[in-house]
Amino acid sequence: MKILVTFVLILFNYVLQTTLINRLSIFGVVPDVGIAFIVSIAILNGVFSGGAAGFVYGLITGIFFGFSKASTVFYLFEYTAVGAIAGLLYPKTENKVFIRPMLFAGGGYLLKELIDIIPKLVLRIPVFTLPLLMILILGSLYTAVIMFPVHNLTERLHRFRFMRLENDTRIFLEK
Amino acid sequence: MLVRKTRKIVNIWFVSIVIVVCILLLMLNSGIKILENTAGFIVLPFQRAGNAIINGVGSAFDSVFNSYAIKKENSQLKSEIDSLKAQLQIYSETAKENERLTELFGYLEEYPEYETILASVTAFSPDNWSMIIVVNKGSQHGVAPDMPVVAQGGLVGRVIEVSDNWSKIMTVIDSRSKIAAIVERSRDTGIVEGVVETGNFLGRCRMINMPFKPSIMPGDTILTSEAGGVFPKGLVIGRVSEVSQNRTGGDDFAIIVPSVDFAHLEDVLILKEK
Repeated sequence: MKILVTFVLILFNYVLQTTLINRLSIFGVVPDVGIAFIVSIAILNGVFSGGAAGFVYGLITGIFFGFSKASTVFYLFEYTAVGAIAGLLYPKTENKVFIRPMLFAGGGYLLKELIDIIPKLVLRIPVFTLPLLMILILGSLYTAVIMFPVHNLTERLHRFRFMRLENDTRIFLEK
Repeated sequence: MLVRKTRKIVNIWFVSIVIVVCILLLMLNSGIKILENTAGFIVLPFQRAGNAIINGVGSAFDSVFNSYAIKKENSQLKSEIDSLKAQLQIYSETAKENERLTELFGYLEEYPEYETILASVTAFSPDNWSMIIVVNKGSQHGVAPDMPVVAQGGLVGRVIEVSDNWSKIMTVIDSRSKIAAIVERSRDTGIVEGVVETGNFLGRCRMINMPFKPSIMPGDTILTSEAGGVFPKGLVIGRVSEVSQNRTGGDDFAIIVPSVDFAHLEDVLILKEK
């Protein structure tokens, strides 16, 4: 049940990202609601779930927007990496404020964009500094802001019985 | 007995005098006025008061008896207003759609050698370094790779991948897009490509590979040329916003604002050769 609900939410986030969120761009920069959701899953469930959520989200995005098989695999890799790294690095201590998840979402966005730039650097494609900085700063801030409602809703959802594991002792359930 | 007789005589006299006075007053115009005024002076205040009371009570009764009907009528009118508002919204949307589609289907007249497939945009690429859109028509509807795609305003891009019921379109502002183009005014040729250095930031493309010292200036319209073999000649790509002339021997290039508003793209036409 938990896997099914998470899968449906990944699809929902994908649809949201490719329809509504893309129309809310500022100077052509869009936040990544997918990153926010993957980081949220990673924070709440750990490295494996974060990586798996990133894998599924990256696969769907790659299927629809990958220019070639390589770019499909690239999408898959970057979202999986963000999910797994967020799950790995997030401290397992109690945290009542939302700043930390928001920082992680912003960081996840930065990581994804930096992974995006690697092939351009390898292929020696010039990237202008100012637009790059704008994309990195504006996009990560925008994603961090979007993380607030996304994580709030995801955390609330994880309080339901069907989203809990047996003998679940995760910290956020103690709040 | 005497007293009775006297009273009777007095009464007869009194009545007779009153009648005589009345007749005299009636014979004179001013007398009638006096009578009217006197009557009015006495009766009108009572009439007014009576009317006020009757009207007040009557309207109270009316409002009590009619309130249910008024409420019903009010709610009926409200629902009518709501439905009219909804209808107006639908009409306005239909009018906008009609306007859009009329402009879109103008391409049918301009390019009789092509037939068109109308498609709706269902998704935009989620990242900042590419601008690929997904539409709801695929091979089932006759879409094939490398078909040109246009929208209100001009060229959108070309089909790059086709599934049964959806297709991917690479737009002109995607950093991997390259289109053979021509300047409408000067007929200078070149290649229009997405600006890879800036990603989707500002959503511009640029024209490169222009001849030495090209005659291109801001405001020029850039069209497709047939050179690439994918696009028909004369589709509007955009307008030049800035020309960068490189004096150190490098290539000149022009920044182009696309004629299609990608942020509000809803319907596109896929051009299919007959």
